[in-house]
Amino acid sequence: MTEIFLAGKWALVVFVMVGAVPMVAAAYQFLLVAVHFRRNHYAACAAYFPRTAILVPAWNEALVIGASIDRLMKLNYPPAALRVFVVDDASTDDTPGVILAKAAEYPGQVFHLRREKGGEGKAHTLNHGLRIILGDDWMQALLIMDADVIYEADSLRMMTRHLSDPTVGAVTAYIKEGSRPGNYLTRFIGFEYITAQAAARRGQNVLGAVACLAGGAQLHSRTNLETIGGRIDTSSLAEDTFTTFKTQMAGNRVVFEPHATVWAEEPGTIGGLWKQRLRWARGNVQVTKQFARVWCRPSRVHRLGSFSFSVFWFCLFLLPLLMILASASLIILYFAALPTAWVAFHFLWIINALTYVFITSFVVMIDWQTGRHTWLQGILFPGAISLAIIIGSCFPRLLRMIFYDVLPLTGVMVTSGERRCLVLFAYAWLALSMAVAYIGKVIEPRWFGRLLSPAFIYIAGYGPLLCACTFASYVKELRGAEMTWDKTEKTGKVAMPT
Amino acid sequence: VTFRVRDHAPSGLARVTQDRPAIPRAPLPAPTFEDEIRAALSYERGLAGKALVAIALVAVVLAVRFLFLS
Repeated sequence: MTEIFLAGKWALVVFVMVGAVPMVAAAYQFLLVAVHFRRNHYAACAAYFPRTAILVPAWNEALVIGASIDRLMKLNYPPAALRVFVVDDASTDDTPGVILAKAAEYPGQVFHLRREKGGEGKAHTLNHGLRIILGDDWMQALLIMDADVIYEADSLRMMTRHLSDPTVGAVTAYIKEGSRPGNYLTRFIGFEYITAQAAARRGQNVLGAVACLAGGAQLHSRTNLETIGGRIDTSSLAEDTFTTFKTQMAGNRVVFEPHATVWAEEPGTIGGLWKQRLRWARGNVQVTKQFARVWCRPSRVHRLGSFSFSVFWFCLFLLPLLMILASASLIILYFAALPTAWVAFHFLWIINALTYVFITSFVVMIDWQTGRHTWLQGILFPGAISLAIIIGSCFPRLLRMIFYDVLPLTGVMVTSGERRCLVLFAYAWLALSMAVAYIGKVIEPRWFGRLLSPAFIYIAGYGPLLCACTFASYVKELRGAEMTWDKTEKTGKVAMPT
Repeated sequence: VTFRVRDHAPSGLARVTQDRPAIPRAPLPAPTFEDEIRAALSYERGLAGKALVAIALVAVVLAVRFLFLS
């Protein structure tokens, strides 16, 4: 009986510590950034200007598409080697009129492609354009972008230089949050994009396996497009990740170019963000299932099956479950073996604290231009309560001073019962934080929500909000919910900082 | 291009001025491909240094924890 109890206790301790694996994996991925100066693709680059077709899917983009085309025409790229194809996905506003006017302004460079049956999703719209562009010999490279993103003048040129190496099939750029005026949420997204793109994708460059070509900035060689079948997958909500995986599985390399910057407008409300991220997260569930035979199976053709890449992928994919598992195990340990629970809790949060300090400080330095505007959101990324737990775990003497010296001075006496409740709350917080962040999303549309929902996100954390979204995607996929393409609402208020 | 040091500078410091009429400056030549690659690699090398700074911060947290607030 004692042996069973001991085995159970250690199993629970392992479950608790598994909760720290995603943070350790993230720190490892970011450590790889430090060797990016040695392991990159620059040595194989050359000044190269292939004839590039830019494919822009557009549905009711009359407000932004004209300015987007004008900006594309001003890219530092040979005009004779640049053509823009706008696929008008049965727009009901003045999108066709604007595109036709631009086609007249830039003859031979801007083309209007009309789909009469629209609303089937981005992949269908892209395939309509792809069929036409691949039907002609002119195109040597294809850039897929969104109607409202802004390319810095040199970005395309910086991307095409990698295609001079025939082993490279696709190149992606650094998408930066550019909503103007921004708000607390867009600043969280700005910080998140440094971690998820500027940092993580550099690490993936080092590994030789890239998780995703950003939907708004994917440059393909013609050969690569033909190798993967000349069409974009329409069976999932993550068509860009599907394309990325298929490219690498076909033996073509995918490169992230961190110095090619593209500015994008991101959702300014939790509701808008939730819709966008739910689509991405469901897409990731579909990719995980579809490419089940890739994980942890090293291949001579690609690096997607490497152990490191698989760990990175599953740490993100399973993060909500791991958080719930760690919390549940801590609570069981609290009732079954209190001293063990206390030690496991401390180890878990000290590991979290050390990785948090490394990741947050490094990320701010990786892109200081964004980091100096978003450092507060970076610090509060895990939420104010998690931050308090981190400080309490790292510096227990500080905690004792607050409880036994400072609070009694203010007349507040914490009883042992209240202390036990606080401890239990801290044990449950990893799982609870997702629920509290979700409440922030639920109350946002109410009259008091505009005021309170940001407070919920700052308290519970932006990270837990994304985890709650991933958890919701599991539920949607398990229920077999209908796949609808919810277009992210855009206002056209995106700009490059001057 | 000639330069001269202006006498009796108000600050007491010698100020260097360009001794020719102001004309619009010609645009700087665009960086060459090699310059761009060099700049990119230099930035990437800088990230290695920044990673060391971040690791040093972690070391400071650990030191404070074990030396003062454990």
